[in-house]
Amino acid sequence: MFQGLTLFGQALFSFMTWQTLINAIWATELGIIIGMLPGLTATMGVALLTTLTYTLAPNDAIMILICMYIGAIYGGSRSAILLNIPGTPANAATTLDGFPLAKAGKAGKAIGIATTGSFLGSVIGMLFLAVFTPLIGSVALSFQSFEFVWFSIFGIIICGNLTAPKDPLKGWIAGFIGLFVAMIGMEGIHAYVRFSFGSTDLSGGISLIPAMVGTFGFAEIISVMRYSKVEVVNSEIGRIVPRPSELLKYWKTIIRSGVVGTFIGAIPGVGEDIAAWVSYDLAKRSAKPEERELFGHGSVEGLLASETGNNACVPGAIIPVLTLAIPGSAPAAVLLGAMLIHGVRPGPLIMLESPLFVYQVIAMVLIATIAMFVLGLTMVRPLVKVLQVPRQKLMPVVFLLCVVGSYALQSRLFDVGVMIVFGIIGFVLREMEYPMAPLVLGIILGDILDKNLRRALILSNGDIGPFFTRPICLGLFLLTMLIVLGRAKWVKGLMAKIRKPKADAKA
Amino acid sequence: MTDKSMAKADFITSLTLLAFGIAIVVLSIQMPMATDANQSKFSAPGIVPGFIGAMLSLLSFAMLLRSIRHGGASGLAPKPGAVKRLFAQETTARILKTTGLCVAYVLLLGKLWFPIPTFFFAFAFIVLFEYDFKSAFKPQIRKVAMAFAIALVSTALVTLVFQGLFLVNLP
Repeated sequence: MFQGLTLFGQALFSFMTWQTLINAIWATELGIIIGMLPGLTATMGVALLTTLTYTLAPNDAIMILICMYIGAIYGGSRSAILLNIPGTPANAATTLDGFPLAKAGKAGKAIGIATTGSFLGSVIGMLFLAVFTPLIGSVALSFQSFEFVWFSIFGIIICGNLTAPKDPLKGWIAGFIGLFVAMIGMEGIHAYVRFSFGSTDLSGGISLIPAMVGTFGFAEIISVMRYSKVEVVNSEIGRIVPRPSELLKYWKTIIRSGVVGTFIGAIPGVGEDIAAWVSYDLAKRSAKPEERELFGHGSVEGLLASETGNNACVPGAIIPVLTLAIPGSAPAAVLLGAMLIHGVRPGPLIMLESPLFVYQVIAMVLIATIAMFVLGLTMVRPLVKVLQVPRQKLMPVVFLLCVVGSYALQSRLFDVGVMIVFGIIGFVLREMEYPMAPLVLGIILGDILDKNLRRALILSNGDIGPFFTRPICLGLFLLTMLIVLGRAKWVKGLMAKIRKPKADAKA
Repeated sequence: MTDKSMAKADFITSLTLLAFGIAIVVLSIQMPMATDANQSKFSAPGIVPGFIGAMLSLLSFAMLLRSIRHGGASGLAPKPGAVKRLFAQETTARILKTTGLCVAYVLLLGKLWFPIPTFFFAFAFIVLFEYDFKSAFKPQIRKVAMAFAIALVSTALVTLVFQGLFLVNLP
């Protein structure tokens, strides 16, 4: 406990330099701008900045990326409130109450509530990050290949289930396509080149960053350019800083949304949008009847719940990145990639190999959260002008960044081609309601699954028993089956038949 | 997409993915066994891709059955004039223009000095989406000038920042 606090203090103190603080301010502000522009997502922002910061020292680069991540998830609330268009998918629930508040002439109040909610959500998430990372890290030390195989499969299944609630089958397919993409190129045990068909470029594998910039960047550019105009609503910006009484009134909602957001963040690949929706739904269910009627028509509690939930998800999503090297959300996946690029090895050994890094990440989250809070409350009016930049002027510049960003890491034009191909495939798949988060998670988890499944089979000499008898494996297997069977129609029908006679008997 | 057209799209996609999944399984089986190199047979490089291919086939098959149940297999041939109508839509034209411009730009990279295709891409993108080709040129000079300025500034900034500051050897 005290050792943790000492390490945290040490980490925080090491960041108290002008250079680091200036980096935190510009990266958070850029994150807010990227987040508030519809079509530019947090994932895209983090992916583009990864390529821009790879020449910096690891701590500076990771700090900038975390600031971008937190800033972008918060920034999306601006366009959700002022334009009724979520800046990032994470802010979709924010539009429900944020925009009606803005229309009622309370845009300033809505922005203030969203900023404070985001700040408190991040703080709650950060506390969980500080408490649970060392704990999970020490538990994860006992994990073997058998557990990692199940974590990979469970990650794909739950991510597909939650990101495609209408049709989880498509989510699972997207996840397995992602796993396949990770199989392309030289494998890590025998150095055998798979699925390259003689291409030297393919034998190096498909890099995560160009694939992500394609699916989240180029695909988004095509989506945004499809329609000609966005209506900009000129709302009055009044008082921004919320009154403490307004926040104290909803303290239960803040804590609940913070905890729920963090928990959802820690589930592999699920992300901020689900965290916001679940927090919003829970707040609505537990609201007083007179407040519940306001949900969807300008409820302060609804706005607070969604914004607290989505920002609490950010530190939550970093927990599995640090402890298991499995990302909790799509932007966290890029963050994981960036850590690997900078020579940091997240995973179960991190608390043994570099415990200070864990506390440095917590300090980075704290600095980013404070920067987001201060910038969020002070730079409201000038930033509203950014929303009025026409998309046809903005998107070519964004595309240039996508191209150079994909190219910069390895100086290969092949990676630019990968970005284009993934962008087009991503756009088509999205049109057919395939979620992209499981695909990206699959690309990350593919390598973990590949090495651990074979390693586990070698250890057990081909016996699949340990996959079902080790306690954590059994738990993950049962959870996976529960998720899959829970969505099957025949199982639902069977359950209804079982319930019906019981209900009849009671009657 | 309507439910009917989604069922059709699912039918075609599931067939494609099923073929894709089976192809992965076949290619995985053809991969060398690790025993050739005196290693455990369970370390064979085809095991995991084979598993992924099998899972993909299974899931695609489930989607295929569902799409057939929802009528996705019937009336697959497009109605007369449907393709023409699709291409006449403004959204389709905008998607094709965006994709075409971006792909053309990427194809030119490495063949010309980086700032040249970059400037022309940015300029063409803005003009193509902002300029009204049916109206006279004179009242739209400002639009063209603005596109020129944005293209010039963004090209210069991207080139200088990445080449000068981040030391990226641009194509």
